[in-house]
This record gives sequence, structure tokens and C-alpha cells, in this order.
Amino acid sequence: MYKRSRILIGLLCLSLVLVGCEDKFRKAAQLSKDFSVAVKTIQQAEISAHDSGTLDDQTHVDIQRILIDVALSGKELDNAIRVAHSQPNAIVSVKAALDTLDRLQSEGLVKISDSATKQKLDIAVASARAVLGSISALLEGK
Amino acid sequence: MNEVAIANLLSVLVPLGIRAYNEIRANHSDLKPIEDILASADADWDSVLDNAKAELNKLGK
Repeated sequence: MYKRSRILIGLLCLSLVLVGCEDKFRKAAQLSKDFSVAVKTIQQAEISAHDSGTLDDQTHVDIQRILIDVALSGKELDNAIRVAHSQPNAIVSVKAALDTLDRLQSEGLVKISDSATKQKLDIAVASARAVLGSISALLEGK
Repeated sequence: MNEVAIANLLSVLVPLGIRAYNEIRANHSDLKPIEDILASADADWDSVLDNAKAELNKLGK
């Protein structure tokens, strides 16, 4: 009887741990969706700026190319969180996504001369970065 | 985890990548049309971004 109780308690603890992990990945998946929406906002703002003539064609192409890299990093993040449920892979993917946002800033947005456009895009990138920070904190239990 | 309940971020990122590719192609008509990229990805939605990236690599850095 005592042994059976211990087994039951052990199973209950294991279930709670598994539910906790699942809940963490569920929240991370929801946040990663927020990340994709933030990146979409960056793209929309950039295309609007290009269409209105405040961005030259080459800068526009450079930024869109980096946005494809950002999307690819999001794909890796999705795979780690939603498919593999792998915390180490998800943390690596978050760092990779942050690196692509750094590139977007240093190789793309830095070329924008119109200050209003640059400010708008900087805010959108900061928003995407903040979402990644939240995912990272959630995964690392901070 | 309920896969259906959680919105897949690829549903946002893949269209974003397609749009980015089309924006780039508007300035580089030598790139394949997006229809070819989508056709080569076949039914594998996830590989659209990889195929677009591979085609863009032809432009160099």
C-alpha cells in the first residue's frame, strides 16, 4: 500500500513537471507568433517607405533580403519550440534570430537617411527584439 | 501540445518571405518568378523560404 502511494506520488510529480514544460512551450509558441507579427510590421513599414520614395531601391532590396534571413531564423525557432519542444535548441534559435535583427539594423536600417522612417523601423525592430527577450526569459526561467 | 490550438508562426513568416522575394525580384528580373519557387517547394510549405534564399544567393552578397 505504502509502495503504491509512493509510485502514485511519483507519477503525479512527473505529470506536473510535464504539464509545466508543455505550458512553457505553449507560451513560447504564442510569443513566437508575436515575433512573426512584429517582423511583418517591420516589412510593411519598410515597403511603405520605399513606395513613398523615402528609401532607395538598393537599400530596399538589402533590407528585404535580410528579412528573409529573419524569417528563416523564425522557422528554426518554430521548429525548436512547436515541433521539437527542445529548450536548448529554442535558446540557440532565439540568439540566432537576435543576430539577424542586429544585421537588419547594422546592414540595412543604418543606410536609411530619412530620420522619421528610420525611427519608425527602429521601434518596430525593438519590438521584435523585446518579444525574443521575453521568449528567452521564459525558456531560461528568469 | 495541441498543434491546432497554437497558431503557427510560419503562417506569417512564409507569406512575409514570399512578399520579400517579390519585392527583390521587382529590382532583379533575372530571378526566377515566385511561382517557380513555390512549385519547386511542392507541398512542403516549410521549404519555400529555403528555396527563395537559394535563388537569392545567385545575386551574390
